[in-house]
Amino acid sequence: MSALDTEAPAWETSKENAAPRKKGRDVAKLNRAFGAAPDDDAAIRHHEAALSTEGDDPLQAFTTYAAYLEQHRPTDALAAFELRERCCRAFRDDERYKNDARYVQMWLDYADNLQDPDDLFKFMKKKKVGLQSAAFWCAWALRSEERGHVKNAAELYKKGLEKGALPTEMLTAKQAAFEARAVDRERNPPPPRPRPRGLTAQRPSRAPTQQPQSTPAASGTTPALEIFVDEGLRPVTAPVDDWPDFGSLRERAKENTRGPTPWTEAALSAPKTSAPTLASAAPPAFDVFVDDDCVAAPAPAPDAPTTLRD
Amino acid sequence: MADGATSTISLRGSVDLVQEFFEYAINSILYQRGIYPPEEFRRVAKYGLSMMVASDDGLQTYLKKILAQLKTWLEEGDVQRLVVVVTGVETNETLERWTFAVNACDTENAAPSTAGDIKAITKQIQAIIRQITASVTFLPLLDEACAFDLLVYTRKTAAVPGAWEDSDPKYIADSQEVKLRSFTTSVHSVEAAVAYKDHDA
Repeated sequence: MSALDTEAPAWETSKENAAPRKKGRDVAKLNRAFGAAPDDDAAIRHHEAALSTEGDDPLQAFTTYAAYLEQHRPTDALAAFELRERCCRAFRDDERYKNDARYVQMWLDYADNLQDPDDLFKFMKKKKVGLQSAAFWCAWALRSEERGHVKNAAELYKKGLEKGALPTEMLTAKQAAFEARAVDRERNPPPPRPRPRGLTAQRPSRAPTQQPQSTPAASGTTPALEIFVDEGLRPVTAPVDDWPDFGSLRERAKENTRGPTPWTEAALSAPKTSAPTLASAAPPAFDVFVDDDCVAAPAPAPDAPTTLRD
Repeated sequence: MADGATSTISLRGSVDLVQEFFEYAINSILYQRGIYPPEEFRRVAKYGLSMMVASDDGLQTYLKKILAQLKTWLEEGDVQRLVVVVTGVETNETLERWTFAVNACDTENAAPSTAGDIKAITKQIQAIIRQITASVTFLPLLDEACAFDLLVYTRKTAAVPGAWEDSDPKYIADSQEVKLRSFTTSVHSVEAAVAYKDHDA
Protein backbone atom coordinates (compact mmCIF):
# COMPACT_ATOMS: atom_id res chain seq x y z
CA MET A 1 0.00 0.00 0.00
CA SER A 2 2.61 2.47 -1.04
CA ALA A 3 1.36 6.01 -1.05
CA LEU A 4 3.45 6.80 -4.11
CA ASP A 5 1.55 4.31 -6.24
CA THR A 6 -1.28 6.82 -6.56
CA GLU A 7 -0.84 9.81 -8.83
CA ALA A 8 -0.46 13.18 -7.14
CA PRO A 9 -3.86 14.91 -7.08
CA ALA A 10 -4.41 17.67 -9.65
CA TRP A 11 -4.29 20.41 -7.06
CA GLU A 12 -0.82 19.36 -5.97
CA THR A 13 0.73 19.09 -9.44
CA SER A 14 -0.68 22.50 -10.42
CA LYS A 15 -0.22 24.22 -7.08
CA GLU A 16 1.70 27.15 -8.56
CA ASN A 17 -1.12 27.93 -10.95
CA ALA A 18 -3.85 28.73 -8.46
CA ALA A 19 -4.11 32.40 -7.58
CA PRO A 20 -4.18 32.82 -3.79
CA ARG A 21 -7.59 33.41 -2.31
CA LYS A 22 -8.18 34.69 1.22
CA LYS A 23 -11.15 32.45 1.91
CA GLY A 24 -9.37 29.34 0.74
CA ARG A 25 -10.54 27.08 -2.06
CA ASP A 26 -12.70 24.05 -2.55
CA VAL A 27 -10.40 21.17 -3.48
CA ALA A 28 -13.01 19.41 -5.62
CA LYS A 29 -13.44 22.53 -7.74
CA LEU A 30 -9.66 22.94 -7.98
CA ASN A 31 -9.23 19.37 -9.20
CA ARG A 32 -11.92 19.91 -11.77
CA ALA A 33 -10.37 23.17 -12.95
CA PHE A 34 -6.93 21.58 -13.34
CA GLY A 35 -8.24 18.35 -14.73
CA ALA A 36 -9.27 17.78 -18.33
CA ALA A 37 -10.08 21.05 -20.10
CA PRO A 38 -13.04 22.41 -18.20
CA ASP A 39 -16.02 22.85 -20.45
CA ASP A 40 -17.73 25.71 -18.74
CA ASP A 41 -18.27 28.10 -21.65
CA ALA A 42 -21.98 27.69 -21.22
CA ALA A 43 -21.76 28.72 -17.58
CA ILE A 44 -19.63 31.73 -18.48
CA ARG A 45 -22.11 32.82 -21.17
CA HIS A 46 -24.95 32.43 -18.72
CA HIS A 47 -23.20 34.60 -16.18
CA GLU A 48 -22.28 37.24 -18.74
CA ALA A 49 -25.86 37.41 -19.92
CA ALA A 50 -27.10 37.98 -16.40
CA LEU A 51 -24.94 41.07 -15.96
CA SER A 52 -26.75 44.35 -16.29
CA THR A 53 -27.23 47.59 -14.41
CA GLU A 54 -31.03 47.40 -14.42
CA GLY A 55 -33.38 45.46 -12.23
CA ASP A 56 -34.01 44.91 -8.58
CA ASP A 57 -30.57 43.82 -7.49
CA PRO A 58 -28.13 43.81 -10.39
CA LEU A 59 -25.19 43.63 -7.99
CA GLN A 60 -26.00 40.02 -7.14
CA ALA A 61 -25.26 38.85 -10.69
CA PHE A 62 -21.84 40.48 -10.50
CA THR A 63 -20.98 38.95 -7.14
CA THR A 64 -21.98 35.42 -8.18
CA TYR A 65 -20.05 35.75 -11.43
CA ALA A 66 -16.94 36.99 -9.60
CA ALA A 67 -17.16 34.12 -7.10
CA TYR A 68 -17.61 31.65 -9.97
CA LEU A 69 -14.56 32.98 -11.82
CA GLU A 70 -12.43 32.84 -8.71
CA GLN A 71 -13.29 29.26 -7.88
CA HIS A 72 -13.46 27.77 -11.37
CA ARG A 73 -10.73 29.73 -13.12
CA PRO A 74 -7.99 29.70 -10.49
CA THR A 75 -5.26 30.43 -13.02
CA ASP A 76 -6.92 33.47 -14.53
CA ALA A 77 -6.82 36.15 -11.86
CA LEU A 78 -7.17 38.84 -14.52
CA ALA A 79 -10.72 37.85 -15.49
CA ALA A 80 -12.02 38.29 -11.93
CA PHE A 81 -10.03 41.52 -11.56
CA GLU A 82 -11.51 43.06 -14.71
CA LEU A 83 -14.99 41.96 -13.76
CA ARG A 84 -14.62 43.66 -10.39
CA GLU A 85 -13.42 46.79 -12.15
CA ARG A 86 -16.51 46.79 -14.36
CA CYS A 87 -18.78 46.28 -11.41
CA CYS A 88 -17.21 49.00 -9.28
CA ARG A 89 -17.36 51.56 -12.08
CA ALA A 90 -20.89 50.62 -13.10
CA PHE A 91 -22.45 51.25 -9.70
CA ARG A 92 -20.24 54.04 -8.40
CA ASP A 93 -23.03 56.57 -8.40
CA ASP A 94 -25.77 54.21 -7.30
CA GLU A 95 -27.17 55.40 -3.98
CA ARG A 96 -28.62 52.10 -2.81
CA TYR A 97 -25.25 50.35 -2.87
CA LYS A 98 -23.17 53.01 -1.16
CA ASN A 99 -22.94 50.99 2.03
CA ASP A 100 -23.94 47.58 0.76
CA ALA A 101 -21.50 45.06 2.22
CA ARG A 102 -21.17 43.15 -1.05
CA TYR A 103 -20.43 46.27 -3.06
CA VAL A 104 -17.89 47.56 -0.55
CA GLN A 105 -16.23 44.13 -0.56
CA MET A 106 -16.06 44.31 -4.37
CA TRP A 107 -14.13 47.58 -4.11
CA LEU A 108 -11.84 46.21 -1.40
CA ASP A 109 -11.07 43.07 -3.39
CA TYR A 110 -10.27 45.29 -6.36
CA ALA A 111 -8.00 47.44 -4.18
CA ASP A 112 -6.21 44.31 -2.97
CA ASN A 113 -4.86 43.76 -6.46
CA LEU A 114 -3.61 47.31 -6.96
CA GLN A 115 -0.08 48.37 -6.18
CA ASP A 116 -1.05 51.81 -4.98
CA PRO A 117 -4.63 51.84 -3.74
CA ASP A 118 -4.37 55.20 -1.99
CA ASP A 119 -6.08 57.03 -4.84
CA LEU A 120 -8.78 54.39 -4.96
CA PHE A 121 -9.58 54.76 -1.27
CA LYS A 122 -9.72 58.53 -1.63
CA PHE A 123 -12.10 58.10 -4.56
CA MET A 124 -14.30 55.82 -2.48
CA LYS A 125 -14.35 58.38 0.31
CA LYS A 126 -15.26 61.13 -2.12
CA LYS A 127 -18.09 59.07 -3.52
CA LYS A 128 -19.12 58.15 0.04
CA VAL A 129 -18.86 54.43 -0.68
CA GLY A 130 -18.27 52.26 2.39
CA LEU A 131 -17.93 55.06 4.94
CA GLN A 132 -20.10 53.10 7.36
CA SER A 133 -18.15 49.93 6.79
CA ALA A 134 -15.36 49.04 9.22
CA ALA A 135 -13.78 46.83 6.55
CA PHE A 136 -13.16 49.89 4.38
CA TRP A 137 -11.38 51.88 7.11
CA CYS A 138 -9.37 48.86 8.24
CA ALA A 139 -8.26 48.07 4.71
CA TRP A 140 -7.18 51.67 4.04
CA ALA A 141 -5.34 51.90 7.36
CA LEU A 142 -3.59 48.59 6.76
CA ARG A 143 -2.37 49.56 3.30
CA SER A 144 -1.17 52.93 4.68
CA GLU A 145 0.70 51.19 7.44
CA GLU A 146 2.32 48.84 4.94
CA ARG A 147 3.65 51.81 3.01
CA GLY A 148 5.04 53.32 6.20
CA HIS A 149 2.46 56.07 6.75
CA VAL A 150 1.87 55.09 10.35
CA LYS A 151 0.40 58.43 11.48
CA ASN A 152 -2.02 58.33 8.60
CA ALA A 153 -3.10 54.81 9.57
CA ALA A 154 -3.73 55.91 13.18
CA GLU A 155 -5.86 58.80 11.89
CA LEU A 156 -7.88 56.47 9.70
CA TYR A 157 -8.76 54.14 12.55
CA LYS A 158 -9.89 57.13 14.62
CA LYS A 159 -11.94 58.44 11.73
CA GLY A 160 -13.61 55.10 11.22
CA LEU A 161 -14.65 55.01 14.86
CA GLU A 162 -15.91 58.59 14.66
CA LYS A 163 -18.07 57.80 11.66
CA GLY A 164 -19.56 54.92 13.59
CA ALA A 165 -18.50 52.32 11.07
CA LEU A 166 -19.81 48.83 11.70
CA PRO A 167 -18.92 46.30 12.98
CA THR A 168 -17.23 48.31 15.72
CA GLU A 169 -15.49 45.27 17.26
CA MET A 170 -13.59 44.77 14.01
CA LEU A 171 -12.32 48.36 14.10
CA THR A 172 -11.32 48.23 17.76
CA ALA A 173 -9.61 44.84 17.35
CA LYS A 174 -7.63 45.92 14.27
CA GLN A 175 -6.74 49.21 15.91
CA ALA A 176 -5.43 47.39 18.99
CA ALA A 177 -3.33 45.08 16.78
CA PHE A 178 -2.02 48.10 14.86
CA GLU A 179 -1.02 49.85 18.09
CA ALA A 180 0.69 46.69 19.33
CA ARG A 181 2.67 46.57 16.09
CA ALA A 182 3.60 50.26 16.47
CA VAL A 183 4.86 49.68 20.01
CA ASP A 184 6.78 46.64 18.77
CA ARG A 185 8.37 48.71 16.03
CA GLU A 186 9.48 51.32 18.55
CA ARG A 187 10.94 48.72 20.86
CA ASN A 188 12.72 46.82 18.10
CA PRO A 189 13.42 49.34 15.40
CA PRO A 190 14.24 47.64 12.11
CA PRO A 191 17.97 47.77 11.35
CA PRO A 192 18.86 50.91 9.41
CA ARG A 193 19.22 50.25 5.72
CA PRO A 194 22.84 50.56 4.60
CA ARG A 195 23.23 53.92 2.85
CA PRO A 196 24.64 53.63 -0.64
CA ARG A 197 28.29 54.64 -0.73
CA GLY A 198 29.90 56.71 -3.41
CA LEU A 199 28.26 59.98 -4.14
CA THR A 200 27.47 61.09 -0.63
CA ALA A 201 30.60 59.68 0.97
CA GLN A 202 33.11 62.05 -0.52
CA ARG A 203 31.80 65.45 -1.08
CA PRO A 204 34.43 67.45 -2.94
CA SER A 205 35.15 70.51 -0.88
CA ARG A 206 34.31 73.62 -2.74
CA ALA A 207 34.45 77.26 -1.96
CA PRO A 208 30.96 78.48 -1.25
CA THR A 209 29.35 79.78 -4.39
CA GLN A 210 29.30 83.48 -4.71
CA GLN A 211 26.12 85.00 -3.46
CA PRO A 212 24.58 87.31 -5.98
CA GLN A 213 25.80 90.73 -5.07
CA SER A 214 22.65 92.59 -5.99
CA THR A 215 20.48 93.40 -3.03
CA PRO A 216 16.82 94.10 -3.48
CA ALA A 217 16.25 97.68 -4.52
CA ALA A 218 15.89 100.04 -1.61
CA SER A 219 12.63 101.23 -3.07
CA GLY A 220 11.59 97.73 -2.11
CA THR A 221 8.22 96.39 -2.99
CA THR A 222 8.00 96.35 -6.77
CA PRO A 223 8.69 92.74 -7.78
CA ALA A 224 11.02 91.92 -10.61
CA LEU A 225 8.17 90.22 -12.52
CA GLU A 226 5.05 91.90 -13.69
CA ILE A 227 1.94 89.99 -12.80
CA PHE A 228 -0.75 89.90 -15.45
CA VAL A 229 -4.32 90.33 -14.21
CA ASP A 230 -7.15 89.32 -16.47
CA GLU A 231 -9.85 92.00 -16.08
CA GLY A 232 -12.71 90.15 -17.66
CA LEU A 233 -12.64 86.92 -15.66
CA ARG A 234 -15.89 85.38 -14.47
CA PRO A 235 -15.84 84.14 -10.88
CA VAL A 236 -14.85 80.46 -10.87
CA THR A 237 -17.39 78.09 -9.35
CA ALA A 238 -16.40 74.65 -8.19
CA PRO A 239 -17.61 72.02 -10.66
CA VAL A 240 -20.33 69.75 -9.39
CA ASP A 241 -18.27 66.59 -9.54
CA ASP A 242 -14.60 67.11 -10.17
CA TRP A 243 -13.73 63.40 -9.93
CA PRO A 244 -16.45 61.61 -11.83
CA ASP A 245 -14.70 58.39 -12.67
CA PHE A 246 -11.79 56.39 -11.41
CA GLY A 247 -10.96 54.87 -14.75
CA SER A 248 -9.83 51.35 -15.43
CA LEU A 249 -6.34 50.08 -14.72
CA ARG A 250 -5.60 49.89 -18.44
CA GLU A 251 -6.41 53.58 -18.91
CA ARG A 252 -4.43 54.66 -15.89
CA ALA A 253 -1.36 52.63 -16.71
CA LYS A 254 -1.24 53.08 -20.49
CA GLU A 255 1.76 55.40 -20.51
CA ASN A 256 3.71 53.08 -18.29
CA THR A 257 3.29 49.83 -20.13
CA ARG A 258 4.80 48.64 -23.36
CA GLY A 259 3.45 45.85 -25.47
CA PRO A 260 5.66 42.93 -26.44
CA THR A 261 8.05 43.56 -29.34
CA PRO A 262 10.59 41.39 -31.14
CA TRP A 263 13.74 40.90 -29.12
CA THR A 264 16.19 42.60 -31.40
CA GLU A 265 16.95 42.77 -35.10
CA ALA A 266 20.68 42.23 -34.69
CA ALA A 267 22.01 38.73 -34.19
CA LEU A 268 24.46 38.00 -31.43
CA SER A 269 27.83 37.00 -32.83
CA ALA A 270 29.44 33.93 -31.31
CA PRO A 271 32.43 34.69 -29.10
CA LYS A 272 35.83 33.81 -30.51
CA THR A 273 37.08 32.11 -27.37
CA SER A 274 35.54 28.78 -26.46
CA ALA A 275 33.26 28.65 -23.47
CA PRO A 276 34.78 27.15 -20.33
CA THR A 277 34.05 23.47 -20.04
CA LEU A 278 32.03 22.11 -17.18
CA ALA A 279 34.87 19.95 -15.97
CA SER A 280 36.96 22.98 -15.10
CA ALA A 281 34.17 24.55 -13.05
CA ALA A 282 34.68 24.41 -9.28
CA PRO A 283 32.42 21.95 -7.42
CA PRO A 284 29.52 23.64 -5.60
CA ALA A 285 30.12 24.65 -2.00
CA PHE A 286 26.91 23.00 -0.75
CA ASP A 287 25.56 19.48 -0.78
CA VAL A 288 23.62 18.92 -3.94
CA PHE A 289 20.70 16.56 -3.28
CA VAL A 290 20.31 14.06 -6.11
CA ASP A 291 16.93 12.42 -6.47
CA ASP A 292 17.39 8.74 -7.33
CA ASP A 293 14.70 8.91 -10.01
CA CYS A 294 16.55 11.65 -11.89
CA VAL A 295 19.84 9.78 -12.00
CA ALA A 296 18.19 6.87 -13.81
CA ALA A 297 16.46 8.85 -16.58
CA PRO A 298 18.77 10.41 -19.23
CA ALA A 299 18.26 14.02 -20.27
CA PRO A 300 15.80 14.34 -23.22
CA ALA A 301 17.24 15.34 -26.61
CA PRO A 302 16.74 19.05 -27.46
CA ASP A 303 13.92 19.91 -29.89
CA ALA A 304 14.08 22.35 -32.78
CA PRO A 305 15.58 25.73 -31.80
CA THR A 306 13.03 28.08 -30.27
CA THR A 307 11.64 30.94 -32.33
CA LEU A 308 9.93 34.09 -31.26
CA ARG A 309 6.21 33.60 -30.83
CA ASP A 310 4.24 36.19 -32.71
CA MET B 1 16.99 0.76 14.04
CA ALA B 2 17.01 -1.27 10.82
CA ASP B 3 18.47 -4.69 11.43
CA GLY B 4 20.03 -7.15 9.01
CA ALA B 5 20.73 -6.99 5.34
CA THR B 6 17.05 -7.26 4.43
CA SER B 7 16.42 -3.97 6.31
CA THR B 8 13.10 -4.92 7.82
CA ILE B 9 11.85 -2.55 10.43
CA SER B 10 11.34 -3.71 13.97
CA LEU B 11 8.61 -2.36 16.23
CA ARG B 12 11.10 -0.18 18.06
CA GLY B 13 12.43 1.15 14.75
CA SER B 14 8.95 1.84 13.45
CA VAL B 15 7.99 3.69 16.62
CA ASP B 16 11.11 5.83 16.26
CA LEU B 17 10.26 6.60 12.64
CA VAL B 18 6.69 7.56 13.42
CA GLN B 19 7.68 9.69 16.39
CA GLU B 20 10.32 11.49 14.35
CA PHE B 21 7.79 12.06 11.58
CA PHE B 22 5.36 13.58 14.06
CA GLU B 23 8.04 15.88 15.41
CA TYR B 24 8.91 17.23 11.97
CA ALA B 25 5.30 17.33 10.78
CA ILE B 26 4.19 19.40 13.79
CA ASN B 27 7.10 21.80 13.31
CA SER B 28 6.28 22.10 9.61
CA ILE B 29 2.66 22.93 10.32
CA LEU B 30 3.65 25.54 12.90
CA TYR B 31 5.97 27.14 10.36
CA GLN B 32 3.77 26.92 7.27
CA ARG B 33 0.62 28.23 8.94
CA GLY B 34 2.48 31.03 10.66
CA ILE B 35 1.50 30.04 14.19
CA TYR B 36 4.93 31.29 15.20
CA PRO B 37 6.88 33.95 13.30
CA PRO B 38 9.42 32.58 10.81
CA GLU B 39 12.34 34.08 12.77
CA GLU B 40 11.76 31.52 15.50
CA PHE B 41 12.63 28.59 13.23
CA ARG B 42 15.92 27.22 12.02
CA ARG B 43 16.73 24.97 9.10
CA VAL B 44 17.55 21.32 9.52
CA ALA B 45 18.27 18.84 6.74
CA LYS B 46 16.00 15.83 7.09
CA TYR B 47 14.28 13.38 4.73
CA GLY B 48 16.29 14.98 1.92
CA LEU B 49 14.48 18.25 2.47
CA SER B 50 15.31 21.44 4.29
CA MET B 51 12.91 21.31 7.25
CA MET B 52 12.09 24.17 9.57
CA VAL B 53 12.29 23.33 13.26
CA ALA B 54 11.34 25.66 16.10
CA SER B 55 14.28 27.13 17.94
CA ASP B 56 12.30 28.52 20.88
CA ASP B 57 13.30 26.68 24.09
CA GLY B 58 9.88 26.68 25.72
CA LEU B 59 8.24 25.29 22.63
CA GLN B 60 10.94 22.67 22.22
CA THR B 61 10.57 21.40 25.79
CA TYR B 62 6.81 21.24 25.40
CA LEU B 63 7.07 19.29 22.16
CA LYS B 64 9.71 16.95 23.57
CA LYS B 65 7.47 16.07 26.50
CA ILE B 66 4.53 15.36 24.22
CA LEU B 67 6.62 13.29 21.81
CA ALA B 68 8.12 11.24 24.65
CA GLN B 69 4.61 10.39 25.85
CA LEU B 70 3.55 9.62 22.28
CA LYS B 71 6.45 7.21 21.98
CA THR B 72 5.34 5.31 25.09
CA TRP B 73 1.83 5.08 23.74
CA LEU B 74 3.02 4.00 20.30
CA GLU B 75 5.04 1.20 21.83
CA GLU B 76 1.92 -0.05 23.57
CA GLY B 77 -0.09 0.38 20.39
CA ASP B 78 -2.42 2.80 22.14
CA VAL B 79 -2.33 5.72 19.71
CA GLN B 80 -5.18 5.96 17.23
CA ARG B 81 -4.85 9.55 16.06
CA LEU B 82 -2.75 12.64 16.59
CA VAL B 83 -4.56 15.90 15.86
CA VAL B 84 -3.01 19.37 15.57
CA VAL B 85 -5.76 21.92 16.16
CA VAL B 86 -5.28 25.54 15.10
CA THR B 87 -7.56 27.99 16.91
CA GLY B 88 -7.90 31.74 16.63
CA VAL B 89 -6.76 33.48 19.78
CA GLU B 90 -9.44 36.18 19.82
CA THR B 91 -12.42 34.22 18.57
CA ASN B 92 -11.43 30.90 20.17
CA GLU B 93 -12.77 29.23 17.06
CA THR B 94 -11.19 26.12 15.55
CA LEU B 95 -9.87 27.11 12.14
CA GLU B 96 -7.85 24.08 11.04
CA ARG B 97 -7.54 20.50 12.12
CA TRP B 98 -4.61 18.37 10.94
CA THR B 99 -5.25 14.68 11.58
CA PHE B 100 -2.67 11.91 11.52
CA ALA B 101 -4.33 8.52 11.89
CA VAL B 102 -2.06 5.70 13.10
CA ASN B 103 -3.01 2.14 12.21
CA ALA B 104 -1.19 -1.04 13.07
CA CYS B 105 -0.20 -2.82 9.87
CA ASP B 106 -1.29 -6.36 9.19
CA THR B 107 2.20 -7.83 8.95
CA GLU B 108 1.13 -11.16 7.41
CA ASN B 109 -0.53 -9.53 4.43
CA ALA B 110 2.17 -6.94 3.84
CA ALA B 111 3.81 -7.52 0.43
CA PRO B 112 7.57 -8.08 0.67
CA SER B 113 8.37 -5.03 -1.45
CA THR B 114 6.72 -2.73 1.06
CA ALA B 115 8.23 -4.57 4.00
CA GLY B 116 9.87 -1.43 5.24
CA ASP B 117 12.69 -0.28 3.03
CA ILE B 118 14.04 2.83 4.74
CA LYS B 119 14.49 4.67 1.49
CA ALA B 120 10.92 4.01 0.40
CA ILE B 121 9.60 5.23 3.74
CA THR B 122 11.72 8.37 3.55
CA LYS B 123 10.31 9.08 0.12
CA GLN B 124 6.77 8.67 1.33
CA ILE B 125 7.39 10.98 4.29
CA GLN B 126 9.01 13.47 1.94
CA ALA B 127 5.87 13.42 -0.20
CA ILE B 128 3.64 14.11 2.82
CA ILE B 129 5.79 17.02 3.98
CA ARG B 130 5.74 18.45 0.47
CA GLN B 131 1.98 18.14 0.40
CA ILE B 132 1.69 19.97 3.72
CA THR B 133 3.64 22.82 2.15
CA ALA B 134 1.55 22.69 -1.02
CA SER B 135 -1.70 22.83 0.94
CA VAL B 136 -1.40 26.62 1.01
CA THR B 137 -3.10 26.39 -2.41
CA PHE B 138 -6.48 25.77 -0.85
CA LEU B 139 -6.20 26.65 2.81
CA PRO B 140 -7.82 29.94 3.81
CA LEU B 141 -5.63 32.78 4.99
CA LEU B 142 -5.18 32.82 8.76
CA ASP B 143 -5.95 36.46 9.36
CA GLU B 144 -5.69 36.52 13.12
CA ALA B 145 -3.16 35.39 15.70
CA CYS B 146 -3.52 31.64 16.19
CA ALA B 147 -2.60 29.11 18.83
CA PHE B 148 -2.18 25.37 18.43
CA ASP B 149 -3.28 22.39 20.49
CA LEU B 150 -2.25 18.76 20.32
CA LEU B 151 -4.94 16.13 20.81
CA VAL B 152 -4.21 12.42 20.94
CA TYR B 153 -6.89 9.80 20.51
CA THR B 154 -5.91 6.76 22.53
CA ARG B 155 -7.49 3.43 23.26
CA LYS B 156 -9.61 3.35 26.38
CA THR B 157 -7.14 1.03 28.11
CA ALA B 158 -4.21 3.41 27.69
CA ALA B 159 -2.44 4.70 30.77
CA VAL B 160 -2.82 8.49 30.75
CA PRO B 161 -0.50 10.54 32.95
CA GLY B 162 -1.97 13.33 35.05
CA ALA B 163 -0.55 16.13 32.94
CA TRP B 164 -2.94 15.15 30.13
CA GLU B 165 -6.60 16.00 30.44
CA ASP B 166 -9.66 14.90 28.55
CA SER B 167 -10.64 17.38 25.89
CA ASP B 168 -13.50 17.91 23.49
CA PRO B 169 -12.57 17.06 19.92
CA LYS B 170 -12.65 20.74 18.80
CA TYR B 171 -14.42 20.01 15.55
CA ILE B 172 -14.83 22.75 12.97
CA ALA B 173 -18.30 23.93 12.12
CA ASP B 174 -18.77 23.98 8.30
CA SER B 175 -15.57 22.21 7.45
CA GLN B 176 -14.00 21.15 4.20
CA GLU B 177 -11.84 18.05 4.41
CA VAL B 178 -8.94 17.03 2.24
CA LYS B 179 -7.23 13.70 2.46
CA LEU B 180 -3.45 13.92 2.12
CA ARG B 181 -0.94 11.13 1.54
CA SER B 182 0.04 8.39 3.91
CA PHE B 183 3.18 6.44 4.64
CA THR B 184 3.71 2.96 6.00
CA THR B 185 6.45 1.14 7.75
CA SER B 186 5.76 -2.55 7.95
CA VAL B 187 4.46 -2.09 11.48
CA HIS B 188 2.52 1.18 11.39
CA SER B 189 0.71 3.15 8.73
CA VAL B 190 0.08 6.86 9.15
CA GLU B 191 -2.55 8.71 7.11
CA ALA B 192 -2.66 12.47 6.99
CA ALA B 193 -5.68 14.69 6.39
CA VAL B 194 -6.58 18.32 6.96
CA ALA B 195 -9.95 19.88 7.72
CA TYR B 196 -10.43 23.64 7.42
CA LYS B 197 -13.19 26.13 7.93
CA ASP B 198 -15.24 26.72 4.81
CA HIS B 199 -15.65 30.51 4.62
CA ASP B 200 -17.90 30.26 1.57
CA ALA B 201 -20.53 28.17 3.33
